[in-house]
Amino acid sequence: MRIVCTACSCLCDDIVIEGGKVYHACRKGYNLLRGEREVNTVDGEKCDFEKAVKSAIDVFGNAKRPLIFGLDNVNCETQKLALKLAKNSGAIVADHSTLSCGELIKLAISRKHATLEEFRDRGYVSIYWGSNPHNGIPRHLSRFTYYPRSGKRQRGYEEDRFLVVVDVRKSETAKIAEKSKSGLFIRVEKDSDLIDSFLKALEGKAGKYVEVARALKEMEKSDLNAIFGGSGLYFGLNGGLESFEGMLDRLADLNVHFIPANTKANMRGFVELMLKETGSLCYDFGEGEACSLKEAFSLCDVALIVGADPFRTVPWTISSMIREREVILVNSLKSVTGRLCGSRVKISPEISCFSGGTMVRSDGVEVRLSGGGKERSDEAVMLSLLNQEV
Amino acid sequence: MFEFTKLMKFDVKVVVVKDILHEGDTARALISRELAEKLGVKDGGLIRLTRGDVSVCFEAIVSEFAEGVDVVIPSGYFASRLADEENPKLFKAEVEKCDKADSI
Repeated sequence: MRIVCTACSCLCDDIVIEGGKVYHACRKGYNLLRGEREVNTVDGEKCDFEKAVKSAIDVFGNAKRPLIFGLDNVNCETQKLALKLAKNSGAIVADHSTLSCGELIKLAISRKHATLEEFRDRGYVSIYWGSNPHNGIPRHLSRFTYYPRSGKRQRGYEEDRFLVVVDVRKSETAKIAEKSKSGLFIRVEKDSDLIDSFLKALEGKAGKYVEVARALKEMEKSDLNAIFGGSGLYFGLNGGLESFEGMLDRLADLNVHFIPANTKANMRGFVELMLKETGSLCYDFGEGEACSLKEAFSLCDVALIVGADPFRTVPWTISSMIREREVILVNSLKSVTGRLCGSRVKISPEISCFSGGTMVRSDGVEVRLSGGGKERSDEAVMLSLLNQEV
Repeated sequence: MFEFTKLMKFDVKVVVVKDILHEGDTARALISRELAEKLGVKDGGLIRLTRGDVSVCFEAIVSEFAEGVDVVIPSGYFASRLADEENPKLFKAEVEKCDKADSI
């Protein structure tokens, strides 16, 4: 059976499961497919899926100010149902995008950029800025950017690709760039200084980081180059996204595109939906206005967590607030939140790889997932909550 | 023999990264060789990071991948304990030696 992996935003469509073995998956994908499954419980007692969903309907139905959090790792159909549920119940909806790559995804949506397949076939310079694909998106380099021999780039990394890594530390990917003749590692202290160096180099002047001159020279050789920005870029800019955007405008002449990297599987799908429906990334349907993630966690009385593990991914100052709330946890795999939170209800749906429907990859391409019509999917749980029946 | 390095405390630059190899139930952190020498910590030694009123004890792994910063923490529960919403990726914390690594 061939499936699409939903462990990260690469959405690899070449994963094969045969005879109980998983082929082609990276460590993240394997962990998702073979990780320990969550158990359906109500008040700590094991139960069947239907009973857990029924209890979730009761708990959510009695909420005065519900929060729906997560949704980055579920398909677009589930996200749409969650938003409908939020509208009907006056809930607050939030995901991880306000904490990481949301603004970068917004930036990518507002600009024309290539798809990862186009980059695989034609791309030359890949700049990973504040992103370490080795751990976050392990197959990104081999499927799309540095290693593939594809289209116009049949000589792969030996001659047809150039890798630039921008990071505050020497990451695994930075080591590859540093060692390679076709690579460059720029260790930055302040991202704004690097932007300044790019702008100065375009004018023929030298900035703090003289290495950018080589990167620009390499860019001149191709009709397609890309900056893959991760959360390190967003926090490194420290709110200075406009200067980065200005730099991208100047680099457009060198065919430099911007594509977000290291996002969660369907974060782009969530951001696109939220921008279309609410205009913001974290929205309180009860008050009819945008709010912060901290407000979302502090205002709610019931938290419906879907496909997320906030105790792992959200700063404790915010996530710990849900310990005093009633929590409905919808997660396929065991999570730290599930272990430490004392959730009222835990529901273990089918892993999203088998849920069917679509997800939006980090480059904006819709990817159709395997399976579908599963009775125990995230989508089925959300539909039950919406219709208030199992 | 009394270890004077146990009394040492100083500020370090901490970065939170995705690191699926070192993320787990026991708190682990990568530290630069320079910091390891300064603190007198060997590979597998233990360090405590304190930020505000929150402390987490980590098993230290001396690694080249912490070069450029002092400490690299895999994202996850222990990183979320120390991080705040302003900048959950990069912050300063106080480091000292300790006796036992935290676990979930």
